[in-house]
Amino acid sequence: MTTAALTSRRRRGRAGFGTVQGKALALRYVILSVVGVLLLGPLLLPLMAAFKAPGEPVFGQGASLIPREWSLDAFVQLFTQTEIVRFIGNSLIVCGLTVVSALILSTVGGYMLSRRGWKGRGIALVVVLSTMIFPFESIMLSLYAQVRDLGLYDTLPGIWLPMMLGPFHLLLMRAAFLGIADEVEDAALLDGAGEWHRFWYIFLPQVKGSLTVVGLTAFIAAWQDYLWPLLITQSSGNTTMMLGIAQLQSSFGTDYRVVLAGAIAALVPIAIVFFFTQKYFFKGVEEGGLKF
Amino acid sequence: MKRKNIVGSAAVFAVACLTLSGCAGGASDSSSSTGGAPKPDVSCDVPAANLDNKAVDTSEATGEITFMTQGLKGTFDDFFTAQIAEFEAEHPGAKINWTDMGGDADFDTKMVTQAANCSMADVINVPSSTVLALSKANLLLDFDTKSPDLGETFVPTVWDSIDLGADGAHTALPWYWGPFITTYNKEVFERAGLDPNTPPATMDEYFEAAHTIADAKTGDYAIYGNTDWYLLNQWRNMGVEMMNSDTTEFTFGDDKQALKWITEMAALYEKGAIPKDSIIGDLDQSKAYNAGNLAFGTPNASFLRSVKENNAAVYDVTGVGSDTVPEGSNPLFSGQYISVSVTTENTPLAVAWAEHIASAEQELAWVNYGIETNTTVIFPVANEALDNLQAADTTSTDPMDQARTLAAEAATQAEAYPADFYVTGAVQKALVDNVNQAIVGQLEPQAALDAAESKMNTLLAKLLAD
Amino acid sequence: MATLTDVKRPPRQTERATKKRPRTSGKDLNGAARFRPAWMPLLWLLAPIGVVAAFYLYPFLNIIFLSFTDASPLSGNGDFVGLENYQFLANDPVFWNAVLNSVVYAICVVPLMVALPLLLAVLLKDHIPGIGFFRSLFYIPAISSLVVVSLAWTAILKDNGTLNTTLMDLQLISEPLPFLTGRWFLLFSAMAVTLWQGLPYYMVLYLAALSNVDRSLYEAAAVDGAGPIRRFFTVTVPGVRIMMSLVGILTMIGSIKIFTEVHLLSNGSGGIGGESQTLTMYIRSVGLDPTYGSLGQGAAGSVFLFLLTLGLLLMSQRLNRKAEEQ
Repeated sequence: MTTAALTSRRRRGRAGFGTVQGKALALRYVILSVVGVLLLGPLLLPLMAAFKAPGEPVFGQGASLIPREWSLDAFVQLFTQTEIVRFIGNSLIVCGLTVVSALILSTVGGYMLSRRGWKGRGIALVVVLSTMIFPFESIMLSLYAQVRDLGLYDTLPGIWLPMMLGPFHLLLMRAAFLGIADEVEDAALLDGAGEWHRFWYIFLPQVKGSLTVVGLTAFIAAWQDYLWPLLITQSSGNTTMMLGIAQLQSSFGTDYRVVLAGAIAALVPIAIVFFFTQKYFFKGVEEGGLKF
Repeated sequence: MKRKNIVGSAAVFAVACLTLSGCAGGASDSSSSTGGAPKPDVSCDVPAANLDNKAVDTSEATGEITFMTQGLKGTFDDFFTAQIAEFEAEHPGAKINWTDMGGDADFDTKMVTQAANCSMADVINVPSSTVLALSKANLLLDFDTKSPDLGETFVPTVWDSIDLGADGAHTALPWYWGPFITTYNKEVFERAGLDPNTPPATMDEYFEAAHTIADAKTGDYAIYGNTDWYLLNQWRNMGVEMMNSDTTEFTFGDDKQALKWITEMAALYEKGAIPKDSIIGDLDQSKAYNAGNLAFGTPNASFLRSVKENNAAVYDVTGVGSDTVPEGSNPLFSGQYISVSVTTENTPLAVAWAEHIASAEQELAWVNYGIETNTTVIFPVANEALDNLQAADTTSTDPMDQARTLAAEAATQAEAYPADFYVTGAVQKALVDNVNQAIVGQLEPQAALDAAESKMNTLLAKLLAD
Repeated sequence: MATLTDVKRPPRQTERATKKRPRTSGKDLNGAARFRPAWMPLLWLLAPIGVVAAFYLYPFLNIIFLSFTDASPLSGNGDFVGLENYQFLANDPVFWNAVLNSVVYAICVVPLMVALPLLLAVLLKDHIPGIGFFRSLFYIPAISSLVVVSLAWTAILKDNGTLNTTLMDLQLISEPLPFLTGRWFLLFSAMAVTLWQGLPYYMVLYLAALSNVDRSLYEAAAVDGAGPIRRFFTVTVPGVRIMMSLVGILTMIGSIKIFTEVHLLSNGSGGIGGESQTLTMYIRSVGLDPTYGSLGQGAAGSVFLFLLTLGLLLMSQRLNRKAEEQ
């Protein structure tokens, strides 16, 4: 009762982002377009090259930005010569596992890290922050041994295990829970609700926006990861998308059109994921808000 | 409660880690040998049978093994799939799992990780860059005891050179390679007034041609700047003594020819004959060569395919010549090997498969597959395979065919070059870094040679001391 | 008690913070007796901290141990050699050069990475038609694969690349600038790539944070006659200060251990003569080379990198606080 009133009060007054009209709107579009060109311009040449016909110059003199002859030959080669569909599938499995584990672990951990009243939370927090500093290169030999000892060498769970929770996600969720007004918790405590009840019914609904950020960044991290899957997998059955693209650069010369077609194929699923979560993401932001 | 900031306490935490860490690492058991071969330095569980003095009986080759290659998928899928099927049919109950890794620098990283954790594939395709490290660490099976007489099938100098295991044990079977050749753009030659049908035959002529191209000021470039790949070969062709005869020391520091190479390159760079950003460009120059304004292309015939795929017009005007090997000298062998991991639990099958794919018959079949599909120009190292090389079409004007003819000639004469095993990793970086600084004029050529030699000898001494 | 709150709630903020929590019974409920039984929080943290400890902390403890040994990649744990590896690093000019490069990288990247994505987020925060399209489009650099990034930026930065050609057409320069080969140019080019990829990534974090800024504050500021720039500094920046601090910490950590961008643009060479090599590149080439590598030296480099990052974070925290107090 009290808590519900408090939450709804919090929502009022910042129901959404602002709106822009008239000249300011036109100016906004101009600026956005310029930024868009700066951000996407660099990608134009490589992405266009994927649509060139075999033999057409890809780089340097004589190479044109727009293909002289539009061709899907590179994509045909990509899909016939490699198991690209399986690679995408493997990546999606790893990404799915990662998103789920990151969401669960970061909310549970972030919540408790944000609560006062217990000893050792400072140390726990410092441990989490410190672990972000190490470069992967320095821990990979040890990590490899650990995952192999668990019997997960050359398996998709083996790829997932070490990155099931990024320390960054813990920090993000902790900050989100910290941002929730103390009145909310005080009221809940007076209600006599248990810890789990408070967490599940009162706190969690308020951090939807942060959850979407965690989910999205976890997905991207898992999708983009290269070195770890490379080390921990062996058979082509467990090859992820990023490894698949790298494999297109063979020891016997590289057909860059096919490599770039692969890069586009890798971009599309993630762009789709972003486009759809984008909607929920900003909706989530407005409902729950990313709290600090 | 007293306020302390997070970073300060993290520092305290780090110190705590230091004191705790004593218990984190386990003690490695000292390597004591149980029979013929010493145990690996990393504490692996090695089946005792892999180290004793008895040969392996390959007649009972059943079970399952993993076979890892480098950069072969995408080009040879059909060939290896068929080979494996055939082998499995001949050996009922045997199963070969083929895996492949892209041929980039991360291959070495993966190899180190696997080797350090005793989890290499049973049969591995080892490039010349890591064969020394794996052999020295006793991680490769000794073929001399496990499969005696195998060496007789290979080109003698190549076989003799890979006695890199303990007490000169042979730990790798020579597998395939691509001889160095010269590829060049005939149009660029013509524009500079050079004869488009006469590629340079010696290093002197090579530099001369480069100067001519630069002096003609046609806007063309002569030489690509990143020489990482073939620096060693060119120095050898100039007669540089890279190492002493028992490979315990680098000795090129006061070599006049090495100095000449750097001086020439620096002069060419100064003249603009070398694209300035190519010094640390891609390892293979094909991408730059494809632009059509670079005179000398890839030294490896197989890369001609990527020229064909990425710029057919340039491919059509590509001329091919022999490598700049001086009279009375033989071309350099630098290739790929097949090894069996000492940790394999299925030695009979692993050895049987290694013997099979490195056999003359299989090497020849593979080479012919490359010819039939016109995808690659690779060569075998088994004597019998070399003797039976398919006669190339000598009248063809296709650059790949021409390259095949010339490379075949080189392949039958090639000899091993021990320095090839040693100039790798940090040693290669020390060499190339210093040489590059001299080429761009940041270092005097002699100073670069001295610095490189000293750094390389320090590293080598450390390796040999272990 | 050390908490991240201290980092994010500098003195100035306390006023706001206290205003936010006018609590009556808070002390009792949030005090030491808040959790019964007392180990209950640990139960909650078992899984998340367990994962962090197992896959991040434990491997690093191993590294600290290795840094006192003469282990090499293929020789197991090696023997105890005391501080020899640290002495080796201290006497290696290549190491100090790599440290310099990484520190310069961080000093240049961190302020830009804190500020630029915020500006971008401000541009994208309002509900205007088609904003979803722009948001998605701008996100593409953050999700492009390495091979595309490397091909794209090499094509722009090489001697006859887009950037040099444009600058020469505009007659701003007469000779191509060595974006990929100059000792500092290469680092700056890599920074540009870092920023390009990081911009959309951090933009999303800022967008989320911006949605928390009370709209009425903007309206009040507008009533007071504040222009967009003043509103940005008086309303937006204080509103997302905590996020700025988090982004600062994240990018500081990320840029000290920078590897990929410099590696890609220089094809692994770290520049001509390896002069633009970063600390992580150094650690990798010294530590993981199968033939000549020394795991111990690489480990010592990692420990140094850890302490260096902590030191820089500490320093930037101090500077922040000083700036706050003035």
